[in-house]
Amino acid sequence: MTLQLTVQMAITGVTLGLIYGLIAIGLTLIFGVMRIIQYAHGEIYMLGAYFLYYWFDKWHLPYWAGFVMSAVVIFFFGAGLQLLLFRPLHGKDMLYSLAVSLALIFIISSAGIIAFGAVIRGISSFVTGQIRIAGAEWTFERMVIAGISLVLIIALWFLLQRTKIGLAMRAVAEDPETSSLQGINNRRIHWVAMGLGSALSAMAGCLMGTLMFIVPSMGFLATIKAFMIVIMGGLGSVPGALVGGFVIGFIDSFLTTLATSELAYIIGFVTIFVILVFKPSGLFGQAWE
Amino acid sequence: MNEKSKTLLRNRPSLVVLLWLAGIALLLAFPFLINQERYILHVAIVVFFNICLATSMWLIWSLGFVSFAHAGFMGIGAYTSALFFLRLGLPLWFGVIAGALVGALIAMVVSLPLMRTRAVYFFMASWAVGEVIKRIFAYYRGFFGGWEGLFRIMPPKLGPLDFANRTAYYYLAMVLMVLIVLVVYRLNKTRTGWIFWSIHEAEVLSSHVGIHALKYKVAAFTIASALAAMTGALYAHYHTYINPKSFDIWTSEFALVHIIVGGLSTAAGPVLGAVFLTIIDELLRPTEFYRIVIFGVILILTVLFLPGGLESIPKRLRLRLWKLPEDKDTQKSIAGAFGKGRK
Amino acid sequence: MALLDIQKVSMHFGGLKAIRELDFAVQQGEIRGLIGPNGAGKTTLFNVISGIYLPTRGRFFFQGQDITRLRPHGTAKLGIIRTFQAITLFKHFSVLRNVMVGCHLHSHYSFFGSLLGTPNSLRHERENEARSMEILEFMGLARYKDELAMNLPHGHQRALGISIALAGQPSLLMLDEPVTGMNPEESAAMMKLIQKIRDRGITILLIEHDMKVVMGICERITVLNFGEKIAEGTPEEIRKDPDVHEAYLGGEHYVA
Repeated sequence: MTLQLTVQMAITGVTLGLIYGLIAIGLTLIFGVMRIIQYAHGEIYMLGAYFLYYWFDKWHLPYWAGFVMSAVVIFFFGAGLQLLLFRPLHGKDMLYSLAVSLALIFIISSAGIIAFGAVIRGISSFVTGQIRIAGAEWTFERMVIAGISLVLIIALWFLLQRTKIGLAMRAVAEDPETSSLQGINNRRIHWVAMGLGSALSAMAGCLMGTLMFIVPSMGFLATIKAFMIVIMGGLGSVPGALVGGFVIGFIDSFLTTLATSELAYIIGFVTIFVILVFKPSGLFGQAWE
Repeated sequence: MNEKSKTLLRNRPSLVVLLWLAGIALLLAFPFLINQERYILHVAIVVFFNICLATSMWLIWSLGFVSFAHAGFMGIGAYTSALFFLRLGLPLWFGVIAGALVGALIAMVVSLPLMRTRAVYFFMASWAVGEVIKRIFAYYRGFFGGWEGLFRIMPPKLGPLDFANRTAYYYLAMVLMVLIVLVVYRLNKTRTGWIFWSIHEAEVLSSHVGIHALKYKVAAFTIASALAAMTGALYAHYHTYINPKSFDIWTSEFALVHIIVGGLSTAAGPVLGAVFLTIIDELLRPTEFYRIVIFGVILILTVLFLPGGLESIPKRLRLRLWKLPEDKDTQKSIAGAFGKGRK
Repeated sequence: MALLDIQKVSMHFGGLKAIRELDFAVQQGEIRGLIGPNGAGKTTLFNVISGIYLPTRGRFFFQGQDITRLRPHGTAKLGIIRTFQAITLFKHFSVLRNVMVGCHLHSHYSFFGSLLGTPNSLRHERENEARSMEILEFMGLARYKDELAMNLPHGHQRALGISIALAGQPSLLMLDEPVTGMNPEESAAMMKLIQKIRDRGITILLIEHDMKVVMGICERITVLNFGEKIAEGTPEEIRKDPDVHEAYLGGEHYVA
């Protein structure tokens, strides 16, 4: 393996890791605050990517405005799902919210095929050009995408640590009863967290769609990866999701280049099983329940 | 599980037996009622397979778990039986038993660690098990045929009877379906079922009255997976062709949808759900992707507006139309006597 | 020989020492009270004895047999059955069925017998039902046998919890706050019932905050504070003990 190839794969690994991290942080945020499994998280990611595709490639509107619009629209979409579908089920058996998210997968992914067509498309690049460092191609697009992901993750961290709403979210995640006694409006926090988690996923979809390609069935694969990451990092742990994102990003980048991805999946799922059974809190997180 | 104990021990067994016999008689007569119409027989067979899958999955649910590895075990049965036929030339009769045994063995080994997990963790761990099973079929191309799968898995013969005949296969699938529903129904009605539900309701309490919860969890998972494997064997010899995709998470998820829409609290739920949704599915087949959208909508509507599923409709009707809660008197007496004393 | 003999048992959760080097013994046939301020380690001790937790150090014996490492279903089999502070029932089962599940250890249950409905298994279930009805009558719940457990009023739910435990035919019954949330009449009735249970030859170990109950029915009382035993003796002795007064009145603890 040459240095050039290694660097190239590392670049891909970091970029993928950051984007995966974004998806997984959204998922883990939703689980942490509401204790529901948003199984249709990948479908939200797909919707975000298609929004930008239509905005930029079909309607020829500015890329960055579309990126922001996608996040805003999906934020309200996610918040709406929470208010309409998940809130009535709060406090009931976990199976019911699982069933609703399952139904959302059916509806969104099939409606996606009907509306968008089962064709592979790509969001055009917003920037061209590249430089060569250490023999590898460093495209500007890739660097900007990695940078944006990093900025978003830092912004989220800032939001959770330093703002009032972030503090409230963490309080609800920690102990919903105490937080409501302290005057936090749990219901509002729930829809905000759902919206925020969905928006993160949508932005990840936009970035991934620019970097790779988009297709209505892309959601399920993203869900699988997001779950792998979240399980590795520990359900509800944001730093864990980021670290897990890098691990899966690098595995993806190296294994798809060097080995068959089929075996990578088998090993991945066996690892997940072992973690869930013997260390359910994940490698970095704390246990819920 | 809301039914009362008096109907359990002092039920009118003759009536229950009569209902069962009437149902079986109707199923036996069915092919002749429809003039052995091939398409309708096909739908009936698919309904039977879906009932088998949903009912056996429901058995695991009675302990409070949803296994997303269920279709994987169906696949184990299908592949075992197919390989018995293709490699050893042994017909389905051997394959279905071997499939059940292999499925049970793997289920038992897997469930020992798997059953240490709970709730969300169980759901994801069982999903991982299902994925590993499916991807192992895909990965070992030489043995399992890879993503292309296995072909020419012929239906068996029994004396002069050739099960390549669809009516004959209808009866074969029907026997398995009746067997599985009967076993699950009986298990649930008797002390075994109470033990399962007691673990579902309050595991810590059941273990403090001496119930070895892990033992029952492993037993239920093993039995249910073996039943799914038997279904898989019949599935393989019916379609004569299998591939890993037939046994992926979507198959488990559809079985779960059948259970939720049918109802979660008695064995009638999965049966009703599988019958209703499979027929809807067939009717909507020409609409292609719309049928999956409609499936999703039905699921959401059920969860939000009919949380007891189809099986709760008679009770709801009774309450709505006649406004007669069955146990009005006892409810009133309890409320009257203790309504104030409660702290 | 003591029925239950606890020798130098400690239970630590990370840095928290919930129980420290606890020694105490319960004699056959007594009603023993276990009291102490909140957080003294009483329920933790129940969880250790019944097998939910493995103690960090120490051992304990039941009828001379080492049961330190047994899980709940194992201790139940030997005859140690407990109730829970937070009411724990099979909520969606009928009252009668709650008790019939409680009969598990003595139900002659066999998987295939039950599946096939053999005459033997049907006869055993009829016996279980009769035994369960007897317990419900004893506990004053017979008329609610067909109600769902979740629909019972609070006091009756506590009584049902004890009925389930009795169905396991314990030799040591551990009650965790049996009268909490009851009004004075209900609580007086429960005291009588507990004494009647003891008169049937069942030893009782009981955690309770209601001093009237504890002082009224316990023959001996053990007092815990911060995981340590600070006093043991008859109700009279405990009432006069300065350490107990200190534990309850000194510091910020409320009077239980």
